[in-house]
Amino acid sequence: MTDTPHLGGLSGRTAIVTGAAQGLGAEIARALHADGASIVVADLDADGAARTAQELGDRTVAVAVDVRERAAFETMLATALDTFGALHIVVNNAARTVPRPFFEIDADEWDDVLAVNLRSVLFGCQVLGGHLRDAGQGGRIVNLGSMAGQIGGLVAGAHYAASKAGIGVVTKIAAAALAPYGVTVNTVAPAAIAGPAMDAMDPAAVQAAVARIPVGRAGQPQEVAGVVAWLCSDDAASVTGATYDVNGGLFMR
Amino acid sequence: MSVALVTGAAQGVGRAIARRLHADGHVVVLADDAADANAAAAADLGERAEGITVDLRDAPAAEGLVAGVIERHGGLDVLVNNSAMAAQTELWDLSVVEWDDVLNASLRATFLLSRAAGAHMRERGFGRIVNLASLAAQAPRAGAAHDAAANAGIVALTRVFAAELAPHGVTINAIASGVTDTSTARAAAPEEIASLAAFLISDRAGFITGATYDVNGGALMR
Repeated sequence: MTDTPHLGGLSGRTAIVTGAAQGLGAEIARALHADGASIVVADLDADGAARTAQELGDRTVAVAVDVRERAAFETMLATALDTFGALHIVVNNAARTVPRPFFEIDADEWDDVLAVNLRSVLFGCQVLGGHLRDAGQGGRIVNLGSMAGQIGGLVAGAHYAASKAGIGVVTKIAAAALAPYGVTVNTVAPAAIAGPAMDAMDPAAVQAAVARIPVGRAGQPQEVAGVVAWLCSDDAASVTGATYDVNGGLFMR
Repeated sequence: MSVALVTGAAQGVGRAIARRLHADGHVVVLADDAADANAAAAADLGERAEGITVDLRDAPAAEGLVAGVIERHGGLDVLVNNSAMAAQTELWDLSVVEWDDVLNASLRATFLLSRAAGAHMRERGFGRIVNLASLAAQAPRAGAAHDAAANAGIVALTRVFAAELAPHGVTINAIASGVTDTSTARAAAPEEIASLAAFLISDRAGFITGATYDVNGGALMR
């Protein structure tokens, strides 16, 4: 089987990836970096962000930010422009995955999950999307949704699922607003991906969840990163406002 | 070496997919009923390419196509169902003959080829099928009822085959492309759709099955 990553296809481009200290975000940063992009590795965890940047090597810069605040996106933009001279790609990946039973979600946790997961995507599309629009060179925004936002969560709480559903619709509105400027905005909606969120689960629950996946295994972060990387490529110029599912056949739509 | 069969490969998107998969190193079998154009498309690729003239409205010929590829090339790893017929006739003028022709050329051919190839891939524990569908499946407009029904059927078939074959290392996905007439959306170049097809058959896409990936310039956001 031949595999054909777009090695070098993103050379000269700069990407911001939020939540890139670990897990899926780190894999997305790795995939875009392998394709040639320079990466702004953004995370609340300063040490983790620095570690990812160091692992990837040159063409990287780490920045510690709290995506709940609009100012974080001004900081990321300034970092991208100061370090690499331009911005082309934004991956809004930062999220809190909280497996909370429905009747136990309180207002503070609801607000915080929505702020981290959804308000951050609004700011990302406004601040960074606004820059891409004004820069006039087109661009790519990929937002990480989830199957939880389509049919409810397997493990994550209502706040997580609602935030991911919200990302789906913010993507479409931002896509329409940015389409005339050659900036595409899409959602990638994974489910059942191995990583920190799954590691934190009870092993028996993981086993039961995996047994329900049609392809018979959990997905790997690299498999999500591959779709994100394709959507960031030049070949994806005609894809906008779309949701690309990566769920092992759990939900076919 | 990986073997790929692409239907409707004489021109347009099918030809671009054949060219891309060939460039990626696959043996590519190009199938089309336009004999001269298909032979030219295959000759254009040179080595590792074979052109087969076949009318996929003919059910035994469609099933025989898969069997022949497996026999001549030792197996089939990738199937791209792209065969279709131009279908512009208005609902009120549509004859039964044309309805059958369009449904047989696209939907039934996709079914027959997927079943024949899927059985082979299931035995081998690996395979990739990509079905080309259109926006007409998701956002039907007044007019070509046969085209809309055929494409909607292809999306449904994609899910049924995906459910059947998921435990066996075989993934099946659809690409739904197109723009509406009134939209300002940008139409995808055949090479862009070929790039997505190449991704979906790659090793990186093993966790994607039963999905429909839209390429419509924002004409339908769903």
